[in-house]
Amino acid sequence: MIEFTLNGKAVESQAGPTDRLLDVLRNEFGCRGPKEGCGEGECGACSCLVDGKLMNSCITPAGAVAGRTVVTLDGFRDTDQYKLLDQTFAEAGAVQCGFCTPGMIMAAQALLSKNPHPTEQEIRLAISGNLCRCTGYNMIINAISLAAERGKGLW
Amino acid sequence: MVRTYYPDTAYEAMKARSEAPGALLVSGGTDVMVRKPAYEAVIILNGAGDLAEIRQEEDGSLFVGAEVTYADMMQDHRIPEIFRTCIPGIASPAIRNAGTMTGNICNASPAGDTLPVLSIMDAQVVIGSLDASGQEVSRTEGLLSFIQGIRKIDLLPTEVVLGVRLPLSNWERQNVCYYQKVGSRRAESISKASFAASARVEDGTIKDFRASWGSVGIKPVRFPDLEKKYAGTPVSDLKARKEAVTADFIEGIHPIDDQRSTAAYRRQVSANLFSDFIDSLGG
Repeated sequence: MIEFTLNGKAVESQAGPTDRLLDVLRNEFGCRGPKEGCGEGECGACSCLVDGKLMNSCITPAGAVAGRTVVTLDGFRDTDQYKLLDQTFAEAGAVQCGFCTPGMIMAAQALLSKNPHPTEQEIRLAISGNLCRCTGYNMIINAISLAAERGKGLW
Repeated sequence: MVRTYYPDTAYEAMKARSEAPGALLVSGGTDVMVRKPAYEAVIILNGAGDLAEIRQEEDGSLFVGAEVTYADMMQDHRIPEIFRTCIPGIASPAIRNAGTMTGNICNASPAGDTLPVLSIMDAQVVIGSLDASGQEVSRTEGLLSFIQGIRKIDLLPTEVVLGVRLPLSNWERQNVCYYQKVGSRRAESISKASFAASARVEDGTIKDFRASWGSVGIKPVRFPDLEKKYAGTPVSDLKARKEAVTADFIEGIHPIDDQRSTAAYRRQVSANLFSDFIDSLGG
């Protein structure tokens, strides 16, 4: 049994220690935010926050989150920070197929929570582990810098 | 059912390995979760607080615990500068939040990004286990003998790698450092070739220097005899004879063709990087 906090609630998972956190999140707890893209930690579609740090849930062993706090897009979407990112992603045209978007949003949150006023280069580095095959990256970068600009006091 | 251990300390981790010899040791999991080997017992190490420490030792060495992540290393001012060039080029922010240097060593991939750096630092792997009476015993082994081959390391089934010792008293006199990794893109890239070098330059002369190539052999390639041969050479001499000196080293490098690159490309890049290092020397 693996106990951890998921999106603000204490949960217990029946998973084995090296089962993928991604499968635990999606199949056991119904979190559909994290997606499976590559399954090898290279595309970032499965990104979530573990103790506030960006992690790839597809290569995180379930056992590694015992006693820790996990936040997926499913929990993050209730926050004002999410609402602003949602708005700026739409405005900047940063979403096309949407598959990378939950991961991009979590990467943006990981960045802004540490650095509320990032430079363009810092944004690029922060999403360097998240691949988008539709929009290119410029619109996503614009969306994140727009959120930083407007998010006075949110982060 | 897989037996799972969640040690809170290094001692408990060693105890778990003695109870379940050969149990899979998991740190960040970033490599092992991709390979997914089958195991009867697993030890999840990331809760072992004393393995997540970086500490200065009496002889001036810096000990980097097995659970210190790359992101942690970037936050610590005691970590030598050359890692600040190397670490940001490893994978992605998410992987640097989970991955560890000890994991990079134990994974024993020819493409391990930190390995050429650790090789020129003469890093030592610190290994612990419990003896029959439950007392902790430890041993250290040089990086290049600890890594025995691709995914082969010199670790007994009852042993745990506790961390890496960087002998800094020796390192700090190196006043030029160089690291480059060549991959297909900047982030999320497994290296085609990599190179770390350092030198102690005094009064325009190379007092000593070190160079190590990655991804061109089963483990990092270093030539101590050639390093000695050129120690004591004035930098201007070395620069004037750059092509011959480069050829001298590159002669011993025998990369292979694989899915990421070709032997010919890797040899050329290895030579170019060495030559660029010589250009970077002042004096």
